[in-house]
Amino acid sequence: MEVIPKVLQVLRTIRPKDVLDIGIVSFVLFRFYMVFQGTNIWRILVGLSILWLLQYLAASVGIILTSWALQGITAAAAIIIIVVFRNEIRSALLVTNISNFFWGSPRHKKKATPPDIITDTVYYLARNGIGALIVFPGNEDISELLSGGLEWDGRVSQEMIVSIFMTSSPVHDGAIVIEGNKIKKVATILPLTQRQDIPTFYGTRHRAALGLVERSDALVVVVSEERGEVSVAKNGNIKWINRPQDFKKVLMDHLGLEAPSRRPWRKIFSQILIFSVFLTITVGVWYGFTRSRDTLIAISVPVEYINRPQKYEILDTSTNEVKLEITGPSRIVRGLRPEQVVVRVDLSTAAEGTNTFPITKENISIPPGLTLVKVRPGSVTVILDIVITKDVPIQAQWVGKLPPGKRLVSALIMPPSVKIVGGKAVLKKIQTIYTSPIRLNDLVKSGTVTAKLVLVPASIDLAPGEKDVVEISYIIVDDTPSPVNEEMHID
Amino acid sequence: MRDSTWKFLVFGAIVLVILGTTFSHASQDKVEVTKSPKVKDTNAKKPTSNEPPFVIERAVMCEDIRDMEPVKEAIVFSVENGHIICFTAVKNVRYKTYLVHRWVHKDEVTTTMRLKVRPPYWRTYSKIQLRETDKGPWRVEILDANGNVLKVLRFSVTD
Repeated sequence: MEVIPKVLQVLRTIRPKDVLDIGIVSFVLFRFYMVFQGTNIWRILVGLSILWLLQYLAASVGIILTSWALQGITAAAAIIIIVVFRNEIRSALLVTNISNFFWGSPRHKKKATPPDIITDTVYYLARNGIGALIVFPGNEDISELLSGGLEWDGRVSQEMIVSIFMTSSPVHDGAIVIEGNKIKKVATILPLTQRQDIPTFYGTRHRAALGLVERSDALVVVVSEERGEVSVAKNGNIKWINRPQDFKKVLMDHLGLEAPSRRPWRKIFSQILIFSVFLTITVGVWYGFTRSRDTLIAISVPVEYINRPQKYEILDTSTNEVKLEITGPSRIVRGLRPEQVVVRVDLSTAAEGTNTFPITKENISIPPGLTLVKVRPGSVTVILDIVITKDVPIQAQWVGKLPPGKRLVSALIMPPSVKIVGGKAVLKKIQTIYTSPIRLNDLVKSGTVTAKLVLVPASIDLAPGEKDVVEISYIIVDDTPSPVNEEMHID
Repeated sequence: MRDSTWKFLVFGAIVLVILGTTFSHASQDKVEVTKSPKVKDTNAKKPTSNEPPFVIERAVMCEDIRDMEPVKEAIVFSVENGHIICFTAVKNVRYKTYLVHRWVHKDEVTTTMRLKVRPPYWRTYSKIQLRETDKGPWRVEILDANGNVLKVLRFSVTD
């Protein structure tokens, strides 16, 4: 039952940029799937992902050696795959232009092979006992698997195909390659399968078809010359298809031409489902990345007192900083800056005198992904005082030493007093405002000096309109020796 | 109440007053207090409410007292002088009472001295010894017996 509040807590801490983050990664994964689906690359990527997951699991349960070995294999496999499947990757990325990557089904636009013409032609050939071998490449590049042959580049038509495979044709041996609505190559040689378990009635065409589909995602159609049968090879298997409509369906599936008008909602639903899977995976990874608690940090944060009522001023506080223990993923904790953590105490409800405020999670602002473990102290005490104005006399603060024979007998300070503003309790103790020190050493005769006022403590201030400088008119007289001294001098 | 009890209470009160006066003077270790009535107490009046018991005629800070007159009045004193004196002359003293010299250094009360005052005119003073730590701003607050501040003298002790 504690799951729901936890989920709600996580949802509350999600920021808009987290949503964007998850959305972008989910979409990119989804589009990669759309581009590479059905190819060997996709299967390899799935295998790599499983390998990585196993390695992560092994590391998390502490199987160090296995984790280390899997990590090495994963790293090596990633490099090997890029090298081995460079052609497939290139063809997938080249065929797919940028707009296709971000939207739509990349395979739809590159295929425009007419399935009806192909179906009619294939079964025409079968009925007339004309052998044929037709290759329909998938997403993978098969150019390195083909040998020999002629570049043809002729538009697909029943007449064209039939004339190629007529025994009188000089190019009837070998296979033709159809891409889109063009016959790209004729009389090309396919690699033969090495399998020994295939039926004996399969001829060279069947072996060649199997040889190619074992190594690529292409579809190969075989028309048997002897038995007048149509067979389709794909994904390492070959099967006999008797009915033209079944053949057409297999062909359209391979070409990505599944009739969109038949059940459009089904395709959309399927894509939404796939996207949801990627979204779930991304959310899981994001949660694990941002919400794990593998690092604990203790930091001291200054307390900000906010919303202080105008009529009060803070006389004293029990503390000006609190110590926080925060846990979270090491990546986030390591990047934590002190200014990202803020502790605020709301004084809007405070009254004159001593106020105690507990410091809870509501007072503390920490970056998403981090969790507050402990706060010390758990509360702060704030003493508030009413702000008043007080008229205080000013006293000159003389320092140094008057020249010999001089005496300072009086001083008139203008203004004689000053109005200061501050907390009632603070001002109660202040009976005098002193000037900054005035040096006596150079004063030889009466005159006037100016001096600044020293406001101590810092919480007090001059009332509006009051000047912080005073003028002091002083009188210096010559110090007459005492009669006793004179008598002694005379003696 | 019996007569003997009254007598005992009155006697006890007198003893307490005498002891109190004696010890309060003895506690002023830094102070020399001198009283010098110029005019004899002949017309003492009984205290009445609200009327001030005396009027300050003159109050100054000085370095010395000679013939009950302040010598070398000033507002700045060198610590080398060794002492300072607060001289106070009061007139229109209506009855026997006292005034207080409260010495304040940097807003901290350092010494409080109670000085006897006699009708109708009285001169008195209090004196403190100076040490190096006494440098800085000073004031002497002159109060009556009721604690009313009648005058404040401000001065500095310097090098």
